[in-house]
Amino acid sequence: MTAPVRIQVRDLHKTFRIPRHQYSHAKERLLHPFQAGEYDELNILKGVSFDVHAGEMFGIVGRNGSGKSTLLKCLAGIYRADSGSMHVAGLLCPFIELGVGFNHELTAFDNVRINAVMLGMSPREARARFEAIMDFAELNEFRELRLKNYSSGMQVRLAFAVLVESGADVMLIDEVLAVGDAAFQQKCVDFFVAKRAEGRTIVLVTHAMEMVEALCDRAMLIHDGEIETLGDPHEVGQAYLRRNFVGEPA
Amino acid sequence: MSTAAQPKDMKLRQIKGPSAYEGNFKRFVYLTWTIAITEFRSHYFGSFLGPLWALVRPLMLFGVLYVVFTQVLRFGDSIPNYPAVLLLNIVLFQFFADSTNTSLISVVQHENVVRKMHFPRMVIPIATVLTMGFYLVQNLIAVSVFLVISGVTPHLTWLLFPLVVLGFIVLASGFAMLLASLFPRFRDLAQIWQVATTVLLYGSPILYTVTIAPPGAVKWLLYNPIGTLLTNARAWVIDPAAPSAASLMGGRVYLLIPIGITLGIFALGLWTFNREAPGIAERL
Repeated sequence: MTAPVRIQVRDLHKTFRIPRHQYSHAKERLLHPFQAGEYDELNILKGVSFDVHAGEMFGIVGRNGSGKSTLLKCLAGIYRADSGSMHVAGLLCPFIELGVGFNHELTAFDNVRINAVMLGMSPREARARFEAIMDFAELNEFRELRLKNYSSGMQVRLAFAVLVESGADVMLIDEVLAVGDAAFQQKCVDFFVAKRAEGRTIVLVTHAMEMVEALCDRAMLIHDGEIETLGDPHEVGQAYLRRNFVGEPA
Repeated sequence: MSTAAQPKDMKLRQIKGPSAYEGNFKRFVYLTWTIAITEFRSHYFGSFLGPLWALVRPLMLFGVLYVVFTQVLRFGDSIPNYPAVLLLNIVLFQFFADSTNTSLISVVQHENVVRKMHFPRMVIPIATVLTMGFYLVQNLIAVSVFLVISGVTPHLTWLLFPLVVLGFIVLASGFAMLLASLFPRFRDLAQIWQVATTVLLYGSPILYTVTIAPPGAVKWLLYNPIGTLLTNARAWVIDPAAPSAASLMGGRVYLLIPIGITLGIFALGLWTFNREAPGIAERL
């Protein structure tokens, strides 16, 4: 592919250290002052390398716990990688685990404003875009409702609308289509297709293989923190199904 | 942000992961301001008095303490303008106590956002202190009305009062950063800091003034930055005849101790938060 590279990941490693005993209580600290605490090391990403280009829709599939979400969180700058390098071009907008971060005690208006500013808008721009966001989400009548009173589908719609208005060049999408209804799913798909045509980059994490095969230009299967298959979406989809139902590598 | 007219830099840049500050001052300020304003408006959401609760709480505490110290213990009589001194002290200390106690749990409270968005982590405790700063301004306006009613005449040294507020802001921000960054690791801090707040309430000259403390204790009360700030607030705002902290300690040079403690805590908070920020999302 000759299109410019928008995401470049090289030999990415991420390990979580899970304390075996939770030494976060002062009493235990006092009783074991010199014990550093034992850790279980969870090797989530073991040297992942790939490129994603402009105008590409890139699927990431894998079983639960394979490292997909951790990879996205590293790319989004939420987790720090242990080693390896990541480069991104343009504005990146994450959509992790069903949505951007919302505070459930705040209204839609407040949440949208804070999120928009986090994504890099000025408070004035954020206010100006609020109408468009509520229009896309079709939630105009609930703008003063606190998020805890929203249904999960409504929350995802609102979060997705923020993403739409963010004008991101690179979008990291984790399972957006799992909650919304059919009409909303179609709206999302239309949006992705339009953005790809504009030359933007979309990384889609999903378990819906028909989506990967129908939409993605390329895809990769992550298994146990490593890339198992990278390339044609149909082949990746087949490999994923084999992993799920036979337990064998492709 | 995404206006088509704006030429955009599409060069690859390295993703380094989260940090405390991230080097974009404008974004830091925008975000801190937006979060602080939102918290200010929404904290007392649904309650009848709204943000006025932030004023009613110190007033009620003041009422109780005033009755206790002037009617029961009676030492309030020995301090000129005791009600004014007591109210001003309570309002200032409440800013400190609320800022630090709320900041302590702030990163954990904003878990949803911290685990899903990329933004300078330091925004969270600083926005919390700023929110409490809004309440402080609101309360100080009420206090100044009270002062005038109770017969305190405005004088030129009132202009020095912002120094007191600045001192409290620096001290509260230092503790806010320190506590917010350590709480995800050490959950006992919430209880420890509550006790510490109570110790500070009685251990600092808030309900009393240093001038009625035993002579041997005066110096120590003033090495505490809260003691210095409140003593000067009394001298500058309420009673020009009251001694300043420097004169009680025996010279301006001694002011370096409370100032040093304040700046030291601020630096420690800054250093700790910077160190903890990259991994803080993983510890929630």
